[in-house]
Parts: sequence; structure tokens; C-alpha cells
Amino acid sequence: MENQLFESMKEKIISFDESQLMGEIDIALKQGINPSDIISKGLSAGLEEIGKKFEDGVFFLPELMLSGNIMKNAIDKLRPQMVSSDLHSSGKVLLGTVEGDIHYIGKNIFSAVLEGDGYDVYDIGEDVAPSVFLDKAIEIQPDVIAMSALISVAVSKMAETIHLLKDNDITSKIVVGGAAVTPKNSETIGADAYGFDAWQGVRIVRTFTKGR
Amino acid sequence: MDLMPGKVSELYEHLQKGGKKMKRDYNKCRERLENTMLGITPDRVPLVYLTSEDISARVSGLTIRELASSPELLAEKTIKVNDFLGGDGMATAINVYCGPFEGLAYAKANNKKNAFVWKDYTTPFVLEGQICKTEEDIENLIIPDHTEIEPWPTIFKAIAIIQEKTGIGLEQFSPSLTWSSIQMLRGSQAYLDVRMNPDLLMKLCEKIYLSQWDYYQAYCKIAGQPSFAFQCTYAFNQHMLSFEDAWKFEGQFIVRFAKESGLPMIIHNCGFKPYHIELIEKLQQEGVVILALNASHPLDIEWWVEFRKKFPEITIMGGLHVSAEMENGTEKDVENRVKEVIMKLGTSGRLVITPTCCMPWRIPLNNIKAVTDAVEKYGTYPINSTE
Repeated sequence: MENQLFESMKEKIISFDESQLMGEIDIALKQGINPSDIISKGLSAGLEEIGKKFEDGVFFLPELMLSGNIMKNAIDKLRPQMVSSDLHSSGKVLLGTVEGDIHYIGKNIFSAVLEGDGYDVYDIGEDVAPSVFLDKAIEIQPDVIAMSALISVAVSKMAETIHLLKDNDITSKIVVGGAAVTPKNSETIGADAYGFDAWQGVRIVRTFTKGR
Repeated sequence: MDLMPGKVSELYEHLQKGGKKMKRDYNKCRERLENTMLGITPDRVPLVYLTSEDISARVSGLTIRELASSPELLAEKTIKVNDFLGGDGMATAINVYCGPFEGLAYAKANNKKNAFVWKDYTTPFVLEGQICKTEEDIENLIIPDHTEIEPWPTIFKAIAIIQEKTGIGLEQFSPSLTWSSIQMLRGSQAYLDVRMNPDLLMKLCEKIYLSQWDYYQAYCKIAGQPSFAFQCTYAFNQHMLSFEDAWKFEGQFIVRFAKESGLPMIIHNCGFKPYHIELIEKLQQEGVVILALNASHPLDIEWWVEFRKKFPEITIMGGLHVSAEMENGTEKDVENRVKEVIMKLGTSGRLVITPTCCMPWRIPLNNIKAVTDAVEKYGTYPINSTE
């Protein structure tokens, strides 16, 4: 019975049927199903399927973003029902667009999917100075720091930010992405990983926070 | 770190003394490009640099706002920047494509000037999603008058001056139908609109089309009639939209524009996973004349060899990635890549070497010189492909 409900929730995520999903979450809670099971066996399974379809070229950014938003709303609905032992974050991610660049679309989509995947995302916005990344990293001690640059001129600021973080002994893993970044220049500037798109970025973050 | 103008001058002197600086004979530059587009083998493979505001600011020693302050100054500095870089092009020192400055025009026309962020020495930007945040914003969106709202009149007048002084520069008409503007105006909400509110998004597309048509009319009136459009096709990337959605929200507007203006097109797309083949086939089916494809991806040159076989009448503009070889490679890497591209794609014309996309200032100047030298060394016709 529980498995049927989880399977149905997964289907609702894939078909972007938020209202039906919320109804099924209510049913599951009434049946006493643990919220963390709802997330891991129902919702996350749906998001995983969305990710596969994105990788296969069946779904695109609209679907990825939409599912991320639905996941976040579902988790927000479940949060008050969770006991403290259930309130386990997948990890902390500090996210921002580097100084000199104010594009945010890719960053926001990445943020939506990360939140949908259960991460605590600290989005510090666009045109973020290296010192602001550092201050926030010291404050929240993130598992991962993710930076985006859409324009090529911002890559130098990305490099500067990474150097500043490392010079100050920040040990968070650094993931970079955005149209201006390539696997090669991400290595050059000292990043730990390069995310081609939002879904690949989530996979990388999962790797870095595995066993957390 | 700012590269000071004095520093650039030193490097410029060094480059002038140290290398075979390509001479800029404007008539020859124009002829090379025209012949290549027309399928006539030129004397040498043409080379075009797409400048960017930041590299222009550093070479000219002026801020972006100073560059945009008068047509005469912009024309003078444009010629200086392009002469400094070398090659055969004449890209305006501040970008004529309907990107950030179109955002500025919308911000001014709609009394949302705070949505635009000026930068002194780098490309300025509109804050994405601020101008058309709500449905009401879209309903009430005012189309900018491109003959009045700066910096467009200044840019168009500068192009006219450049054309008068050099005979080149007119071919800079670069509309952006429609996705670039959608992203600027609507932000990430546009991706949700594709599924949740497509009619509203289409309404915005129609308004953007009107604005781009106004941009075209203003360009013709002030700068003169361009002979082709350099059309950005940013929606056509597999990691962003399905081809069907890209066609719905951008492609059909490109066709409409081509039909109404009668202009052939150079297709520009610097995305990671572009739908080049599908887009060109569909545009050709619709009767659009494609002169050239300007793109950075795929990086695999064999893909371009196959493209050449499939579309022998389309000029390839590209070959160098601004990040891969230009920014991170050595001079030898740059030379080898230019040689490979010319040998594989340029032996019978229809090739323009272009680092794609706009060049950031962090590209080593010696790598720019290496491109120029390599094009002269390997690109002079007749080309011996066995070299």
C-alpha cells in the first residue's frame, strides 16, 4: 500500500501535478507514513526520474525548474510534520553569481533543483564580490560552494574568489558552472568540479555530500 | 585587477615590434569577407574578432559610458580597437547586438532605470526578470524608440561614421529574436511560462518582435541598410528548450523577420548544445537564406567537417573557442588550432576564422597575435592542405 502511494507520488512529480501530489501527501500523513520516507521513497524518486529524462533530452529546463519548485513546495508542506530526527538536510550549499556578472537564470534553476533535493541553499545573489563569498562561507560553513559565470569576463573574478577562499582555509568543495566556464578553465582556476548543467551540478553536489 | 591603458600601450608596442602585424587595408578586409560569403575564394582566409566592451575599454582607455558618449568618439575608438586587434572585422567597441543595451533601452522606456547596472570596464547588464516581473508589466511594456533612446542613436551614428571612414562596419546589424530579450525581461520565470503560461510568453515575444523591428528601422534610417542580419539564436540549445519550444518562441519570429526585411542571415549561437542542423534545415525550408553559421560548439572539428559536407554553401565562422585555446592555450596551441581549422575547413573558401564568442580581456594578447600570424601563415590561398 505504502509502495503504491510512493509510486503514485513519483508519477505526480513526473507529470507536474502539484495539486494531486499535495493530496497524496495528506493521505500519506494521515496513514502515519514517516515524512522522511515520503521524501526519500516518493518525491526524490520522482526528481531522479526527471533528472534522467533531462539527461536523455526528453525534458528540458522548464520541466527541471517546474519539478524543483514542486519538490520544494512538497518539502515545505512536510517540514512542520517532521520530528527533529527527520529534519536532516542533504547538506549546505552556498550559491552565487560572481562579481561582474548579474545573470541569475541558471543559478536559480540550479537552486530550485537543489532545494527540491533537500539541500539548504544559501543564495547570495548576483554580482557577488569575492569577500562576500568568503564572509558567508565562514558564517555558514557550507559543504559546497557553487559559483556561476555566464560571461567570460567574470571567470577572472571566479578565479579570484576561489583563491581567496583557499587562502583563508575554506575547505568546502567548489563547484563552478555557467556558459563562460569549461571543464578546462574550471581546473585552471582551481575549482573542484565543473557542472555542465543544473542536473549534473546536483549529481556532483550529491557526490560531495555523500554519507553526510 | 584592472589592466591599465598604459600597460596595454606597452604591450601593443611590444606586439608591433615583435611580430608580423597584419596590415589593415580596409578595402581588402571588406573584399575578403564579401567574397567568402559569396563563395568566391579570397586572397586569404578572413579573420574577424568579436570584441567585447571590456576589451574595448582596456584598449581604448575609456569607460563604457565614455565610449557611448558620442558617435565620433565611439567611431574613433572602434577603429582603434579593431586596428589594434588586427584581422578583417570592424566590430563596434560597444556591442551592437541586442543584448545589454537593448535591456537598457527597455529599462529607460519603461521607467525602470534601476534595472540596469553600468560597469566601468566590463559589459553592463540589465537585471534579469525585473522589467517584466508581472503579467501587468508585460501588458504595459513600452517598446523603446531606437531612434531616440540611447545608446542606440549614438551606436548607429558611429556605424555610419565608421562606414564613411573605412568602407566597412555597416554589416553589424544584430537583432536578437527573441530569447535573449525574453531572458533579460522575464528572467527564469520565462522557463516556467513555457509550461505554465505560454500565451503570456507569446504576448511578450510579439512585443519583442515589434521592438526588434523598430531597431531595424532605426538602424536603416541612421546607419544605412545592412545587407544581412547577424541573428542570435539562443533558444536553440538542447540543454535549455526542446526544439519545438525554441521554434515556437524564437524560430518563427526569425522567419517572420527574414521575410519582412528580405535580409539573409548569419546564424549566431554560442551555446553548449546547439540545434544547428535542425534549425538551419527548418529555416531553409521556410525560405530563409543562411549565409553563415557563427558558433563555438561543437568543439570537435570533425563535426564541422561533416557540416561542411552537408551545407557546402554555408560559410563557417568560428574555429576558435575564446576559453579553450584563446584564454587557456599557448601561442603554439592557438597556431595549431588555426592551422587545423584552415586545413580541414578552409581549403576551398567559405571559412572565416573567428574566436567565438566575444573576447574577454583575460585572453593573453600574445594569443591574439598568434591567431593573426597563423591566419597569414596558413590561410593564404591557394592553401596546401598537405603542409
